[in-house]
Amino acid sequence: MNQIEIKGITKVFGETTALKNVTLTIEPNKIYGLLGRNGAGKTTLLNLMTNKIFPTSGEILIDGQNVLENDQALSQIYCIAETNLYPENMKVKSAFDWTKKFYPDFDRGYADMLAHKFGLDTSKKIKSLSAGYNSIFKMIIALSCQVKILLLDEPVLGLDANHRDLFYKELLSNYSAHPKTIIISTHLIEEAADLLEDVIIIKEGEVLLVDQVENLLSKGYTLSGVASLVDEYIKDKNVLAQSSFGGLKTAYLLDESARVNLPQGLEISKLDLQQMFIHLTNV
Amino acid sequence: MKLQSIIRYQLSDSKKSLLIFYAIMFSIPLLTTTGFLSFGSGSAEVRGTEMASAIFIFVIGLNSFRANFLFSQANGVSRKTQFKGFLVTILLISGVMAIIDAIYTHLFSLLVPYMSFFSMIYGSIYLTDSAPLSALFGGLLWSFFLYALYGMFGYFVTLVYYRSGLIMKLVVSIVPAIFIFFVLPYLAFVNLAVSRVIVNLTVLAFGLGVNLNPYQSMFTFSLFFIIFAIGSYLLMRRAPIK
Repeated sequence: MNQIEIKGITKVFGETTALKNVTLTIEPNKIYGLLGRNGAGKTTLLNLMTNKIFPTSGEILIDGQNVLENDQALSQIYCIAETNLYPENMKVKSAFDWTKKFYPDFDRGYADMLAHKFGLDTSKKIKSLSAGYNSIFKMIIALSCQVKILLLDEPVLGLDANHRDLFYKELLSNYSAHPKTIIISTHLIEEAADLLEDVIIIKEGEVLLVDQVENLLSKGYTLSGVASLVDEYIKDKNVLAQSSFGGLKTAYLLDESARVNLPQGLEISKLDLQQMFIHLTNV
Repeated sequence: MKLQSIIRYQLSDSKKSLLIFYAIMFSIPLLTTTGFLSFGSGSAEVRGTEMASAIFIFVIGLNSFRANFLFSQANGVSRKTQFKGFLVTILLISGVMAIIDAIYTHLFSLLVPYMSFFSMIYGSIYLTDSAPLSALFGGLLWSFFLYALYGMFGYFVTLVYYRSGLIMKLVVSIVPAIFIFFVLPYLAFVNLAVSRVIVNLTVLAFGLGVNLNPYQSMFTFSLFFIIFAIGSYLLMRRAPIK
């Protein structure tokens, strides 16, 4: 079990409500995508799951244990934060050594191997790492910790395309070798889409949608054609968005029945996860 | 497990500073005896280097929160465990420093006229034949409690600043200074009863009455250590990442 239960979580910062009564169950050993626009509350939720901050109300349980001030629950989880939490003067290899003391299952050999693969010089101080290598450094620690739950907040921030590709491959190979619950919060939806099994979309502090990626993609369609035909066809359908150009219209649908009895003159194509996310969160 | 690790980490974090501090402290008698450092002609004396140690451990306390907190949070350590770790660390450092300072006092007094701060205050009660050992023990314990208090106070101060907003930071910076340097002297000046209370409290707190008693000041140091420890924990238990 590596189940996470989020029960009625609300977080208020001054006059801003970052999360409103969020209730979720994260199932064990799955890769989740946590998606949302800037300021939607993704980082706040991840910070709450690791007790870096405290909820205004509600609770978060890992395998039935509340995470608040709970060393045992917190030792099952590792979070890559956007900000650097390591002392700037610490060397990368020293950070590896110390992580081993806090996470006894930390695989030092694997960390060194990843550092070699990504070209990370472990004798460098953390403050001298570029933004990309800072992400690589944190990602290597996260993958080598061998914890049951990994939270990755913008894990590929500053990484070039080659390193991003390598990261996705390493993440999958790590997941295959040691199944764990992984939650990836990212804006690069198109790139990460193939990794994700389930998706959680947050909008303005509220959970908009939780679904399997496969299931979600099977419902999403783009319908285009003459405006009157499109309007007639979509009137009883779940329409995410519409756009018109001259006498033509395109409608974005989230509806399983969208492909049934399609009249002539209308064209239909699939929506990918990123397009679906844009239309879901644009409203 | 995590407690042990955080103690090790915090000790290792202070190790380098401690080595530099004592390298400087021990270089003073060495430089003096080799003639590189002079206290002038005549009967010059060096006194009370414990205060340098106390200020040093205060700075250790000041620097023991923010970076360690972030590092603890990165490694899944609860605030409670981090706080326990700091308590053990500061007590260990205080103990080690008290022992080193006792050795230092002994060595330094062999080389130059030297009197520790403890001897200056309570030295007169250790004049009998059997006194050197109890003076050593008393001085060591007194330094230990003094250092622990200064370290805890530094930690408390840094936590007050960490948890305060800009206005609160200004308030906690200015108000105590105004109270100590202006309000209290003014009250003592205009009202003899107030100055008498201050003097009586100081005498009682530090055991400075007719019968000098260093254990009274150790009790006072411990009491304030506990007060600052409770204050620090209350400030820390809900501290968010900033």
